Amino acid sequence: MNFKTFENLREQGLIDDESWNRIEHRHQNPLISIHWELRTLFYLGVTLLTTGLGILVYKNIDTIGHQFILLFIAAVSAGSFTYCFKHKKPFATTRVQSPSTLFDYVLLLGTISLLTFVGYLQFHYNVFGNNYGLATFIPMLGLFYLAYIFDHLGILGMAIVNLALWMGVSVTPKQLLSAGTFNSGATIYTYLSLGILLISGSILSNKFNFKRHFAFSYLHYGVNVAFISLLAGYFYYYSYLGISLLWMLGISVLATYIYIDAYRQKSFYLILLVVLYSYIAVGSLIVRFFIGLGGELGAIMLLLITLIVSAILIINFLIKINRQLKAS
Amino acid sequence: MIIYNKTWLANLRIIHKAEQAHHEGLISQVELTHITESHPVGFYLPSVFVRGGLFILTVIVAILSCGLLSLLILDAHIIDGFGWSLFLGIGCYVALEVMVKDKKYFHSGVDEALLYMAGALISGSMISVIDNLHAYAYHSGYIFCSLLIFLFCIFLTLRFADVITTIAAFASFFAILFFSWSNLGSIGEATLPFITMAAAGVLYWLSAKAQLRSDYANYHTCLDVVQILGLITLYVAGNYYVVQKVGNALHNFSYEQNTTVPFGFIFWIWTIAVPFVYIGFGIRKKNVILLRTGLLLIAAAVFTFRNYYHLLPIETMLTLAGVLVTGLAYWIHQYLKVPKHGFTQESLNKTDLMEHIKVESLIVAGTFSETPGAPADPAFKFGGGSAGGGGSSSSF
Repeated sequence: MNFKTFENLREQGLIDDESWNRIEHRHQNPLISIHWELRTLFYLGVTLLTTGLGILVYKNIDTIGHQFILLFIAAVSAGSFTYCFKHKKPFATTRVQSPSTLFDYVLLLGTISLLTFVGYLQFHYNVFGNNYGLATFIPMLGLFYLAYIFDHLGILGMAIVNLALWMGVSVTPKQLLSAGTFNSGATIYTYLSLGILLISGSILSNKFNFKRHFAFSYLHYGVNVAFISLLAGYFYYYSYLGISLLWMLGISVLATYIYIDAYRQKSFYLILLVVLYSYIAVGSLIVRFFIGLGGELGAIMLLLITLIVSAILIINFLIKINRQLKAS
Repeated sequence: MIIYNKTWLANLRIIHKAEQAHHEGLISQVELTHITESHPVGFYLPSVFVRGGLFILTVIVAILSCGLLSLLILDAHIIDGFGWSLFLGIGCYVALEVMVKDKKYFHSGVDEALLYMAGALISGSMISVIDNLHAYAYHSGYIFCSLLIFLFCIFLTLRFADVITTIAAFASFFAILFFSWSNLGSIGEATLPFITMAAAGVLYWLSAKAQLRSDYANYHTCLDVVQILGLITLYVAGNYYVVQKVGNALHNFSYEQNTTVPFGFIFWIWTIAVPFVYIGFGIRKKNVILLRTGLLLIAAAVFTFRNYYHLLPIETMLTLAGVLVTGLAYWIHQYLKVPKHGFTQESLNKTDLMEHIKVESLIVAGTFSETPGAPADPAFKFGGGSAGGGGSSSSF
């Protein structure tokens, strides 16, 4: 805080006496927030602890020690959930502020150790038998339940990722980019239905006003997955002009819908996603058109010019939208 | 020197401070509105996501335009020389100047994209010029090259107050120091860690001093960056692992060779103690930069130690560290239930918080995503996610 700035503002008569007293008091007793440092420490601690325990059990799987470790994991989980249920605020369909930073991370610790525990049961005792679908379905349901009753966005994210795992695909950005599994029709349709499912999830959250602040998480994963699978579908059926154009139609419908929605919600993030994915789609259409003209140098130059001009148009469009949304 | 309108920059700073004071509950909404209205800012300031989009699209436009121009003159065979990339770089720079002056951009994505393109192209041409001179004696080519890039980045930083060019200038400064000092033979090599420490310390001190002066206010963020980098360099220069490996490189030993470092214990003390010294000073002086850098460097100290002494198997280390870190966080949480000694665990900036929660939820989902379940292959390992997240700095 820069005291001099506020002295000047005071001289200009922009700050009244009451505020000035507060500012002076704060200047004499400066206050520093270590909120994010503390959260990072908690996050780090929980990550280290759960990872360490997970490896410990696995490495000692054939010794007596592992049952002790398992007991420890169960105790951590049970203890965490006892704490959480004791300190939790009553359930509401709207946003419930978390009681404290500690609460968030105790909950996370309990959830992850529960997952480790369930995973161990399946691994060692084969509780779910060879029914692997059930083995991911049950934890997924559990995660959704926990996310809703404790109002925890991080666990909701884990639940969504598990939903994808249950459907046989993955949605974390890292895996989406590195896996490169978009080479079979079945995977693409799975991704597409997942995307549509998640987008519907966000629509329903908004419509029924049920945990409305969860809508963003659904939409974030849903929009990315839907756009990527539509683009993948377009390239998968590239050689069949008619079918591939149908996928393009899908992209334009989705883009229009998300754009209207984002504009209403004033979400710059979603607008950016729509704009970038649409640019990729339009760009690939342009490239396809010019390749059809033959690989002459002139055609390549025209292609470059078209791509440059379209990018500049989109830049201007983004700038305009930003102005409009800020002004409104 | 700075290209942006200075009055607007000053007004923008005042508005930012007023907004912060408003979030902390010090001034009312009415006062904030009055302050915003009486301090007009004419810059085009997009939101952070639009800024990212503009950056990506501008980079695409710039790269495609360079490609198009190169295609046009393909037959003239002037692309091969350094002159062509210099020409393209100057083109980007001119476009940058025009755009900023004309469209009132201020760190809007467009200007940054053009700035980095111009910087990379012009620096690249400098490197290729000097590379063609074949001046290998006494690293003179390297020194000259680093010097040119350093001066160029200083110029760009002064003109555009950009963080990335600040980092580049900082790095090239230490490249100059490294190459010229290692020319001094064995004395140079032996004193290299100390001269680097001294230089980093002086840079930290100078930038911390400069930040107090109001006439450098436009470069506040750049000076923050210099302080952070200065502290990190000061630590790294005395880190045992770094000292050993750089020593190996200078003596032409192989990288893996475990040579003993003369006066190794000094560097060990430095490796372990400095992060705590930073944190201590950070707490005492209520300096966020010292505090955060110190926390970050503790991780570095742990990794360095672990690299040489394997006291415990990795999983025991992880579990114990997890218990320790969680316990420490718990203790701080309980200790600061009521703000003490000017520290609070509450977030003072509530709007900032809203953004972060979403980011945090994505990080959590990303690192803890691998839930156990379907052991498809015998090599299946279950466990609560991967340790790769680390994420030490991701929430800042």
